[in-house]
Amino acid sequence: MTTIPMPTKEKFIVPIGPQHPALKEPGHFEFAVDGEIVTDATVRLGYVHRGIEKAAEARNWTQNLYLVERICGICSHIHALTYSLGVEKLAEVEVPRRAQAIRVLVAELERVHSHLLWFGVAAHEAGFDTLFMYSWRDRETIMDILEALTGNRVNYSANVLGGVKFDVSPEQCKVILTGIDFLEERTRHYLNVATSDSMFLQRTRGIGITRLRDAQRLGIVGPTARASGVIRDVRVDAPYAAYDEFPVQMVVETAGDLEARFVVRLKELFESFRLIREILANLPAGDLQVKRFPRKIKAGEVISRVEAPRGEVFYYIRSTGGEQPDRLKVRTPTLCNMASVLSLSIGHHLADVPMLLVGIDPCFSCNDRGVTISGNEGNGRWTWERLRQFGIDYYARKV
Amino acid sequence: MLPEFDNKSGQSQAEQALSRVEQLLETWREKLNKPQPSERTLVGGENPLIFPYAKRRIMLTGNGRPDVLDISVHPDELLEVVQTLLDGDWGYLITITGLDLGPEAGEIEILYHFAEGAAVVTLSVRVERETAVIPSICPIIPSASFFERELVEMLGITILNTPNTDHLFLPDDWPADTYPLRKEFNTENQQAAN
Repeated sequence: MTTIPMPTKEKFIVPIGPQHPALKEPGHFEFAVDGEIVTDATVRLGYVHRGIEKAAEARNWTQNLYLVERICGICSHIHALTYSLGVEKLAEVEVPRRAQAIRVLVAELERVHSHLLWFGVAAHEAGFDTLFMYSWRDRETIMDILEALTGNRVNYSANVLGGVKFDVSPEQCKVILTGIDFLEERTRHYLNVATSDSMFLQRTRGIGITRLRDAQRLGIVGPTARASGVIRDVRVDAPYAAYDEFPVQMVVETAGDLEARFVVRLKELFESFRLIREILANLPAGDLQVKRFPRKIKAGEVISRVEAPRGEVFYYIRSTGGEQPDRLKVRTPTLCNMASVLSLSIGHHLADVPMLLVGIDPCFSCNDRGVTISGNEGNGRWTWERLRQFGIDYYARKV
Repeated sequence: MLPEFDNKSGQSQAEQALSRVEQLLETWREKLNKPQPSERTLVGGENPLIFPYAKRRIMLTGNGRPDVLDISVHPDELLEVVQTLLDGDWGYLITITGLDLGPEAGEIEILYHFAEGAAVVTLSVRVERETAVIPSICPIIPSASFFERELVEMLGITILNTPNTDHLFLPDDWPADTYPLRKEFNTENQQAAN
C-alpha cells in the first residue's frame, strides 16, 4: 500500500482552548497537523489579563504588595517577595535576618506545594489519575501547614514591606517537621513511580527532548531548563533574602525529556525539605519587621530576580520619589517557557501536546497579569470602588 | 560530570562576567570604528566604568555587591551590540522593559536585560515618544518575539522586522492607537469611553 501525501496547500488546524487547554486555566493554541503529527503551532494569551502593571502605577507602595501577591494563586508568596525585596532595596531598608529566613521558609513550603500540585496535574494529563489523587491528597499536608503558619491556604500575605507578619512558634515547628517527614517519604515513592512505572514512562521517556543548545537559544528558565542541563537557578547564582545563609544545591539533569523534568522537580522537593529543616533548626534571632518603612521612596530603579517554583521571576521597579511606583514590570517564567512548547510540539504526536504543555508547568495568570468580573447585577465591568465595596459587604455578611 | 556549585564564588563570578562584557563591547567598538554615543543624563548615574556611557544606574536585589552594568545604546547600534553579546556567548535575554518617560521628557526608553549568573547587563535605547521606532532583535534572538509583541501593544512602539505584531495579551477588539502603558492612559477614562 502506498501512502497518499496530504494536499500541500491546505492545513488542518486543531484548536485547543481557550477553555481548559489541558489544564484548568485559559489559553488558546492552534496546532496545524498532518495526520497525527503537529507541523505548526501558535498561541494566543491574555484571557486572564488584568492590567496589573498599569494598576500598580495608581496604587501606593503598600497597596501594591497585595496587588502583586494576586498575580498568581500558586506562587503568590514569590511575587510579594520579589516586590518587597525590590522596594526595600530602593528604600535602603535593611530587613532583619529572622524575617529573611522566614521568607525563605515560606518560599520553600510554597515550592513543595507547587511542585506537588504540578506533579498531580502532570499525572492526570498522562492518564494516571490514581497518582494524581494520591499526590493531591499528600499535598493537603503542606496546605494545612501553610494555613497554620499564615492563616491562608493561598495568598498567604507573609510579607510586609520591611519584614514578615508572623513568627514561627515551637509548636508550629513540630507540625512542619512531622509534615515534612511524611512528605519526604511520599516523594521518594513518587520518584520511584516516575522513573520505573513502564506505562508512565511511555508518556515521558524520550518525549519532548530539548537539547541544551535549544534550551539556551529559547531562553528557557527554571526546572524545565535544568532538565536540559542548563545550570541556572537564581537561588544559587545570585542568592537573595536568606539563601546566602541557607545555600541550595542545584538539581540538574541532562536528558532534556519529560522524564527529566519530572526528576528535576521531584529531586528539588528533597532539597526543599532539607532547607526547611535547616531553617527551622537555625532560625536567626531578631525582629520580624523594621520599625519604620518610608511612605515615599526616593527616585531610583531596581531589578529584583527570584527563583519561583517555575523559574526566574523578574521585577523591574522604578520610583520617581513619590508614594507610588512610576513603573512596575513583571516577567514571569511561563512567558519564557511558552515559546519552547510551540517549537517542541512540532514533529510530535498531537496526543503528546498536553503533556508537553504541562511539562513546563505553565501558569497563565502569571503570564497574563490582566479585571472583568461577572456579577449577578449590572454589566460585567466593575469599577475599583464597586469591587472594594463588594469585598467589604461580603465579609460583613459572613461575620 | 557537572561542576561543583559554590555560593561563596558567586561574587567573583559576577565580576568576571562583567569584565567579560566590557572586553566584548570594547572589540565591538573597535570593529565599528564609530564615534561613541554621547553620554546622556541618566537617573542616579555614577561610577563610570571603562565606557563613558556605561553606568551603574539600576540597583539589584540579592546579597552582596551590585553586579550590574547599564549601557545606553543608540537604536542604530542595538543589533550590533546584541550580536556581540551573543557571539561572546554572554548570558541570556531575561526580558525587555518598555518605559514611558512621560510627555515632558518626550521619550520612551526600552531596556534589554541580560543576565549571566549574578551579573545583569541592561542595554537602554531611547527613542522619540511620538515616532518610537526600534529595530527588532528577533533575527538574533528569536525568543524575543513575545517581549516585542508586548512592547507593540502596550506602548505603541514600532518595531522594524519583528515577525509578529498581533495582540498577545490585549483583546482583539481593543481600540487602535490606545496603549495602556503610556502615561496618558488612565483606567477611569477608559471605562468611561467604553
